[in-house]
Amino acid sequence: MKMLDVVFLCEGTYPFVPGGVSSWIHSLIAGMPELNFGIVYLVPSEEDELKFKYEIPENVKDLIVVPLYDIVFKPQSKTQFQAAAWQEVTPFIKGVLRGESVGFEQAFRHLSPSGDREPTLTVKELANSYQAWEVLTEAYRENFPKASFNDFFWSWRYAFLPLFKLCLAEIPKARLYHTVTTGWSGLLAAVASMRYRTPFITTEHGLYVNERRIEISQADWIFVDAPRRGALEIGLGTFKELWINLFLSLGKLCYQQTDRIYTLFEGNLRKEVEFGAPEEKIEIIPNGVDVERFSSHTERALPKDSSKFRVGLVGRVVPIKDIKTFIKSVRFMDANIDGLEVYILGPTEEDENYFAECQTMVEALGLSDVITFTGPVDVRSWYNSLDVQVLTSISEGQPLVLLEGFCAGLPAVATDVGACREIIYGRTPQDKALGAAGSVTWVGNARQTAEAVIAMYRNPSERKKRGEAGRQRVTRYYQRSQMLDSYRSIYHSYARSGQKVEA
Amino acid sequence: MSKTIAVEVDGDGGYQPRREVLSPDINILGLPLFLLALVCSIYSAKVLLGEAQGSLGDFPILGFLVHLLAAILTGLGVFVALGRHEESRNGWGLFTGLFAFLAGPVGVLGGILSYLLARGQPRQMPLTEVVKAEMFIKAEEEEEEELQSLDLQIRDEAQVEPIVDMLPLADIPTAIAIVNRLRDRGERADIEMIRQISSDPRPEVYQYALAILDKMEKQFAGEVYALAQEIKEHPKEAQLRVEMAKLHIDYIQSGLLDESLQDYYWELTLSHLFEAMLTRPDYPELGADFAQLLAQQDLIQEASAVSKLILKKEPSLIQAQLLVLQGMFDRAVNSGDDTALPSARKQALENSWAVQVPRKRKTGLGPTYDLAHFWFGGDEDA
Repeated sequence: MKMLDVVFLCEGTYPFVPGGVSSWIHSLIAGMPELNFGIVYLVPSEEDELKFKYEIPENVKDLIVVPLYDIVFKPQSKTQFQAAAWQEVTPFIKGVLRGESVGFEQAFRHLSPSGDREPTLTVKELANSYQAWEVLTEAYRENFPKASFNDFFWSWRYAFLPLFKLCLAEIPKARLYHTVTTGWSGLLAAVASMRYRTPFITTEHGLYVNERRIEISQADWIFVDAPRRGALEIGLGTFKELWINLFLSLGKLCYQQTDRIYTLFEGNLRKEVEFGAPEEKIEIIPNGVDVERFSSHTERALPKDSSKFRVGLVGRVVPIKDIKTFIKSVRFMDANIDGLEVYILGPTEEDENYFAECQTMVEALGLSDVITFTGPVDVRSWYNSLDVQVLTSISEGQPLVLLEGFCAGLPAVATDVGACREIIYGRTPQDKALGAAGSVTWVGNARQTAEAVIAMYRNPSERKKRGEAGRQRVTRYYQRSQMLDSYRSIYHSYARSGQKVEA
Repeated sequence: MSKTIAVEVDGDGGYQPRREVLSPDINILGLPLFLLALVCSIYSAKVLLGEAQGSLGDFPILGFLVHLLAAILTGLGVFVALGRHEESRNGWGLFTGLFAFLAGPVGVLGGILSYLLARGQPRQMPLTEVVKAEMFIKAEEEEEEELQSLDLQIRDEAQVEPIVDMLPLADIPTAIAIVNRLRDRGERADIEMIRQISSDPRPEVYQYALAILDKMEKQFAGEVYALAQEIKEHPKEAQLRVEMAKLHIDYIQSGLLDESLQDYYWELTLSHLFEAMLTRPDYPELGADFAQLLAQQDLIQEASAVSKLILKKEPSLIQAQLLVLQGMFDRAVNSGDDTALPSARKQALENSWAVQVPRKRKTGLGPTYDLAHFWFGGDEDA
């Protein structure tokens, strides 16, 4: 098979999970038909059901699914003592437990094949051998002497087996690897880059390390010691910190090994530096949308009706979008807006429990006649039909839905997360001079969200003005063509040479 | 001017002001007692040891009594020297007295010395019991004598102030630990504080706080949903509606709800109780609860009107009586009608048989007593 130009490394996104990042990848691939793409998709288990959510463009020539947790131990032939190998692998393993990235290059040749060379250590040796036990107990004594060994053992297994496995994963050969997160995908990109001596770049929309940290801090499945009575227990508990350290370490590894880091806005850049990214490697490339495609769309999902005021939230029904706060805000809106109609436009199947909770809340708040969950729709016809778009997310990168809405002159009320503030109020002085394209509210504050929408309802001329400001902003600063040109030039500079370029 | 007072957590999870350090000044009255104890102890030792060197004879009563006196004087000296530290003076006195009794002059000196060395040490709980990150409260600088009267105030303020004060100083793990602590306590004030913390500018902190609030809300939401399903299946079951009303009240009082959503849930509560009343007209207590909820929402006239209806069925319901009176008083005050107040008093007197007041209760012991006290003057026999 012809060598691929670019291979995307994806986890929980394209092409099986819809969303902003997936749409972004899709638009990059579809926008550059002259390049051949491959996709490596990481999935927790082989048994996970995967359904395509996008029509795969023709220039995608390869798609590989790598399950993280299905470990199969193959029969082992060699039994000799690998003291030297273990000596080089141990610092890397211990560094991961401390949230550091140490000695990946040294460990790499023992963990991953390269060319004709087989790895020195097999997964079975790394997990089920006398030396593995020695390293494990040593790490336990050094880092978690007071924790339950049983829990440490299983946390170790679940944390390190995917890591070892990814080092052995089959990855299609390419001139450039492009990962859209750090974490497991970042590790795989680093492995591919070292194995084939090709460059890899990283684009971060949200911050993977941060998202995992939040997810782990709230997780119920990780054992936490009961707090001592009367004492304020600082920290999240041994095992939550172990998992956070794992992702922190993988993040640092990715930042160290990657050739360039691309991010969407200034706030992300600062956070990446905080998480260990070298600032000189980072460049900002904002998201962009096909303004023409959205602004020229005339078809409407709902007929015009001046007696109605229509509010929409475009997004998946998942906790990170904080749909519940939106529903609560509708309770306030309903008391102040005549003819209120609210639409939640997006897939509901990703977190069915959460969707059920949202439906229960709608019913409990007596909003069944006001709120409609539409499921997946062609959003272009909806932007035309809405009066205000709302986004109540508790975490965002640079939400494309706001930009898409702006194309149709739809003002937005969004929480102050990610790049929402600069999208709504402008980034540079010239951008700010265009005026506000909506309002920014605080996360989890239903009342503030409602008040912002009510203010727009009561002042139609201001609403129109804000919609127009949004339209101008997206036209000037967030054109998809600008974003595509930037990545095209990056791909060509790397992919055509196929050489690692020093930053 | 304000100063900062650290607080610590007591065994029940409540806040107490950090215990004061012992005053380094010695009460001068203790010194003569110490000296006397030492003299007695030396004398008794001399007498007792002198006798011991000789042949065995009668029990040395004098020596023993002086020895005992020395021990008592040592304990008494410590007791007097500790002065106003009522909590510790008994313990220290006994301890040093016993020490002096067991070891003679050495014991007296040792007892006095241990007492002196312990002075000035803080009497705090062990570090494990103390909130590691100081929870600060702001209080006006007061004289030491006034501090005790501030205890209650400090306790109240500690419910709302310390975390808000310390959060900007707390790093992310500490802030998360505070959220966990508040979640474990789970009182309304604690949950309201978590809601405040959800406005922290750091994503890690506000997202964690929001997730905790969401988990707590889920419990209520689940119960409400389950009960709503039961009501759908058995719409004529008054008890289910009462349960739902109670659940809504718990939800409102949990601190999880925004103010305006509280209004909505009050309305729901009322509507459930109203439905329950209609379903079970033979059960006037439901109506009284309904009227009480109306009153809690400042709908005094409505509460009064409902109570009047209930009293026609069941005149002995004190709660309804009081609401009728409260409604009349409210109308009298708001209408400016000169005849309204006397008429209210007359009505109150007519209904007074229903207000059963325990003879020995004092003012402030209950709303029934307070209201009766108000209506019938200051006479405790009212």
